[in-house]
Amino acid sequence: MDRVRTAREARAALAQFECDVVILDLGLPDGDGMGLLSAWRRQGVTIPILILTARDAVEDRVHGLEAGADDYVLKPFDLDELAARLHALVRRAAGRAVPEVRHGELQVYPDSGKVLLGGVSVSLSRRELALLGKLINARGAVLSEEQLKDGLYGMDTSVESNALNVHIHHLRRKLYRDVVITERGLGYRLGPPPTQPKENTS
Amino acid sequence: MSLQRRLLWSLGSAFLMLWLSVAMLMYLHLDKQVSQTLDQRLAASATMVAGLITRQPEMLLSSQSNPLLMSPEAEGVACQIQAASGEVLLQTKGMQGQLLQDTRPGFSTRDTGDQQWRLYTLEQNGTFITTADRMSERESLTNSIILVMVVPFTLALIGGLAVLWWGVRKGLSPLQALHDQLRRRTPENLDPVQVEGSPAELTPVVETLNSLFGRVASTMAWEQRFANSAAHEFRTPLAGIKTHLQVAGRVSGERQQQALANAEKGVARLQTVTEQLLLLSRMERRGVASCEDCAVADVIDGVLEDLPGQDRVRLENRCSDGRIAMPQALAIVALRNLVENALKHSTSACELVLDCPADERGTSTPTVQMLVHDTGIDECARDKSGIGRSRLESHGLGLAIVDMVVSQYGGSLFSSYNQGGGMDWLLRLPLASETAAT
Repeated sequence: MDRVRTAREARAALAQFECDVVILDLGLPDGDGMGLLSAWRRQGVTIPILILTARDAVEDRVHGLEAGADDYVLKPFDLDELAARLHALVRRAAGRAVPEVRHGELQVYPDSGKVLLGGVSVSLSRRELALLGKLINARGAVLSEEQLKDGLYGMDTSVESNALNVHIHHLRRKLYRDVVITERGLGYRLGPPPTQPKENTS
Repeated sequence: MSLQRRLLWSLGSAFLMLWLSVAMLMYLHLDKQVSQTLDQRLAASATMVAGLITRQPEMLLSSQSNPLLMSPEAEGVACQIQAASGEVLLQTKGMQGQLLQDTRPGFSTRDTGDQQWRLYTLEQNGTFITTADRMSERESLTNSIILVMVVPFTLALIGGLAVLWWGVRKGLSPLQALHDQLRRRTPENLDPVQVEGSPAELTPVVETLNSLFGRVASTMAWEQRFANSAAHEFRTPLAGIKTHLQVAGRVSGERQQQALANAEKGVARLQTVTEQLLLLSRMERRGVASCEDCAVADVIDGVLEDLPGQDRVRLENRCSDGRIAMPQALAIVALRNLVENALKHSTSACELVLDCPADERGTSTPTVQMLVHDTGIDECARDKSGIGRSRLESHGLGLAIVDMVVSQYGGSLFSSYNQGGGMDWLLRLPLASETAAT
């Protein structure tokens, strides 16, 4: 998760990095979050946006949702509820109706971070889980290295150059070899579902 | 009753009364004139007959067998010539000789049978010449003349009333338009009123109304911003506290301690906001303040004391001999809020200039000026479009309190964007008088 403090920084961040979901506070020091939201939607930004604000008036909520927000949560909020709403937004954006993702014998529960392969639980680190989630949500589309890095590290620029390859290697080792397919010169995509449990554990 | 109806009623009534009075006077005058004219006709007729008899006296002698002169059965002037003995020498048909026996010279009105007559009798050489008009004929003639007069008079009256109605409606149409606009307006609509062709008398009303709408809209916008800021300032730390406590309940060791420390920071922030709101509430309740004063230097010391990030504050001028005509605590709150806002909304690498130049004793209301200058966001990150500059209305609760303090003590607060991309906040506080200072 990356945090920016001002509308200007938010604008710059969204222009440079990819993200799964935006949590937008309306009370920004250099402008109103509602204006930022409207501007993003006008520019064709389709990333799910959740407004997290102290403004509880009905007209504010209606205005926010009509301006293009996908959800509107009031402060103070419950941590679990916020997390559930964010997962729901990401899930909906990926075109899924249920939390569970089935890819053949591979079952992923992004909300809880649980991964099953052939009914056997597989332990993945936070980054590996994020990488797998990113590939699953792409639904077979090729993602560039930058897109995957944005999904994993966000605005953190102090990332080792081979860090992504290390995580891909770990995913292949823990799940199966073809879970991530390398498209030379283009990027990576989710491979076909495993035909047998743990095709390759080496 | 509406103004239009009142005007129509009063003007119409006055108009009608005036015209009816004139009509009545004309009627009476005309009636009298017609009567006099007809009387003159009778007298002229009698005189004419007398002249004929004088020229041709044989007329009286040759008429013994047939006294009928002529026969104006239905209309016209009747005539009768009597001898002094009462014998009718000549008469027109229809004259009742026996009823005119005691004829006396001059005008008279007499009933004969079912008719009323107007008579004129002229005495000449022992004969009485009487001319007569039927009163019914005279009245018919009078009525005909009056009818000819009444029709155009009535039309003029109706036309006058119609013109009056149109004029009043037309004249009051801007007022009616204003009335319609205000009646159709919903309470939340504070747009300016537009009246087409507003007369000079109505223009100040419309301007005052629009000015009032503007002030109400401005106040409501300010209150909305204040409510939003207050909600933000309260609920944001509250949300932080709640979240950190939830995290603390799920982790242990160092992470738990960190979460609890973060929650404590949130409580401190909440406490500050609460104190500021209480101060605001007390100021609103108390109204105009006491005649305390304080030294500018003490206020600056109070602001910088325990100020987080005070190393970023560069003091240009302390205005050490100046004194402010307001309690020190409030002056510190006002200036500290400005400084804290400037620190909050500018990057940490920027320098904030607190400048207290010499007081303005030459002006009508001497003040002490305090300028808080910041350079906004990071110079290198700023683009030329001005995006990222702090906005006046986005600074939250602190400025609302500053505004309240300065307005209660006769000071003022001005803000402007500076060349460095940040903002200048010029706080003017009233200078204490020399006697108070000593």
